Amino acid sequence: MIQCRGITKVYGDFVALDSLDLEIEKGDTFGFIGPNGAGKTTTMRILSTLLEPSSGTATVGEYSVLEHPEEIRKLLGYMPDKFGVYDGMKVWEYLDFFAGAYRLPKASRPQAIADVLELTELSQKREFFVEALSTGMRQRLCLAKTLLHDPQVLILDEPASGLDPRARIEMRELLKELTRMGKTIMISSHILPELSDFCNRIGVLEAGKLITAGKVDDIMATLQSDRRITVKLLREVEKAAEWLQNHEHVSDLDVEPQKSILRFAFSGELDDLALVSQSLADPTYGLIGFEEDKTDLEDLFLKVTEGIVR
Amino acid sequence: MANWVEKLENPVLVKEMRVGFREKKVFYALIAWVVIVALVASISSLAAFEGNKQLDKLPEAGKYFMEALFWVQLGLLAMLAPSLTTSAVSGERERKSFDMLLTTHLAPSELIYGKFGFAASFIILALCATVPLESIVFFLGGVSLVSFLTTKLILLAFGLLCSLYGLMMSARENRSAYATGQTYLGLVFICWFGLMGLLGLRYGEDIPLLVYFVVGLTLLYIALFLFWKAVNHLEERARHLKILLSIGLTFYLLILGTAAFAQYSLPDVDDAVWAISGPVHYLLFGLLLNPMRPARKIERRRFEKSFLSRPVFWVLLLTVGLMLPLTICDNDRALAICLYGLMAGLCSAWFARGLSLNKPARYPQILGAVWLLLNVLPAFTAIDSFDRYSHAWHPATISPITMLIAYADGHASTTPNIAVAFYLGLFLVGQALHIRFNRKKKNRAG
Repeated sequence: MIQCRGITKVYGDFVALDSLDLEIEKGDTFGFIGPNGAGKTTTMRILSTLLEPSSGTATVGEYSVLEHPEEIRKLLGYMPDKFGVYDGMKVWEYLDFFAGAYRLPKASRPQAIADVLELTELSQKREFFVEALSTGMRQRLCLAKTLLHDPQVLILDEPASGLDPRARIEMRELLKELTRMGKTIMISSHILPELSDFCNRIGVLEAGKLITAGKVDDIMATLQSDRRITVKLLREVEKAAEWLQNHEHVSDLDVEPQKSILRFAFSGELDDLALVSQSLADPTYGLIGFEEDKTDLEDLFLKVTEGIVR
Repeated sequence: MANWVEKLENPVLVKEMRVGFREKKVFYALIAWVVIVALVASISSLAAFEGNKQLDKLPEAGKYFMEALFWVQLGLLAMLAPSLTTSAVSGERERKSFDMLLTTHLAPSELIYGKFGFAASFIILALCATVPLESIVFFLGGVSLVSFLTTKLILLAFGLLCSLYGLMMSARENRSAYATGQTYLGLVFICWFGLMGLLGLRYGEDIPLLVYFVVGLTLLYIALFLFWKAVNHLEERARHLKILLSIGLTFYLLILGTAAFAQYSLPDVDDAVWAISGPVHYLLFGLLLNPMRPARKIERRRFEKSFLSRPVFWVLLLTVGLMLPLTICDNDRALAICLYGLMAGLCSAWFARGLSLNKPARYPQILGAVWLLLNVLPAFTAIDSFDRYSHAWHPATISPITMLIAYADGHASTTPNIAVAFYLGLFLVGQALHIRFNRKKKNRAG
């Protein structure tokens, strides 16, 4: 659905994007991860036909961003990271304006507005003036206007930035709903936990370069050469630590005697790990916890960007 | 039918109307407008009656009254009309809503039309609001209904042009403060020249109807030019530039046609029409000096495929157009205009090239400014040239510099040669600088 081939964007001497290659399939929810200034917004603006790449090509739904921007705009819903609303307009008027701008037939506009208001849970605010809405509601309103023409592709630039935790959770639920609706979504954020729930693919961008991209699980598996295991015992922690220390697949052992917790890296296969758990299940130790630490997107991001200095 | 109505509907206009007329400041501005006009009407009617108390002098009082209201509304329009549009597009950029608008299915021309539509509605409303006050003039007499309506039409045209100019600046600038500053600075010059022309038209005697037609056509051309220039500032597209150049071409052919028609059908006005044709060339060239190449590579390629983008085409066309006076009108003035136009064509072709570079250097900008100064001035001073039949041809249609030289020299007949030498020199200097700039650019790239 979205393809970038060698996209480079240069501002004077500054290289904002450096030969970016990217592919997003139809129905994918692609999380674009990277710190501020990594080039996420530049990429999204190029795909939204707002910016011309210095070199390279990009297509959205088989249309080139350079050759057919009008066609792309019909397929696309773009929500910028920073946006303003028009004061002196009611919520429904704001949406009616964008419905007109998206060329929705006049007869179908009331229904389309009602639908997006319901989806974004703003139906109660229909008659409110937009300046009276909270930041979270404005973000939802902006998303509502982005969805008015039922676009196949959504490009959402930091949709949850500046939101309080509750509004962020609400936004996350809304995005999950959109994923279920089968939209192709490209979403950027530097708040990683908000992406981990619903993105099936991610790309990590740093200093204008795409460091890695692919399915979340695949990237995790590639990066995780060792499993991190946490064990909680009731007694004989020192003895268990001594036994683990001598195990061929165990390394990086960390003991917390006060909490009776042992943490270690395990390089063996799952069968070997099962044997370790059986050994520790001996009544001598009083095993009450044995679990593998989950690596989240934050860990992944830190791992892949390790050593890269902008 | 309903489909057509829907297609004609402009969501931006609807939004601007909704938001704009809800704002208190718009209401206050309208109140202030009416109050000021009412005050001037009261003072001027008292002053008019003071000197014309006799019944037979009432028409004089009526004329005086109408003039006072005309000039005060003109002043108010100069202040108010641009303020309606100077933040129209730059405000969207400042509010960070511009990107969202661009990614909708709205064409840039619809956006500009919507913004302009609101300004035009307000201006029309303001001009209509003072009609009851102005209608006092019909009790006094001295002003016909046609004259009354013409006055209103002039005010409307002036207001619309001011707001279009503000809109063009707003589309060009990222900040409303810059757009406002540049609009009012520009209007100081434009109003000054405009006033000269307006004075000539309002108080000149025996002005042929054809001159009003040509002036009206020119104003329409300027309005269309400002509109499409604003559209192109919004999003640089080859088709916008092609439209701009097509409007220029149509306007030019219409003016030439009018001049030729006048020459054959109205022998009394030939000089006036050819004198108008001079400023028209200035105006056309001056406006065409704007960069005429989109920055985006793909759009540039599209634009360069069109014959309208070729300076050679324009130079040839304008040369042929300017040679026409030689074949039709056998007098010195026609020759002067022709020679001037030829040089002007060469210069403008070069400037168009210089200014359309991706990163314009300072020299084309400086020379462009000099060029405009030399050309905009005579465009307006030439309007005042109809009664000066003492000269074999009118030096004012050349440029202020050549005009001064001619008067200082005392031999007006030498002026065309000086003009040709001046413009040829300017062209050669420009060409030399252009080659030097390109060489430097190549060296840097190498």
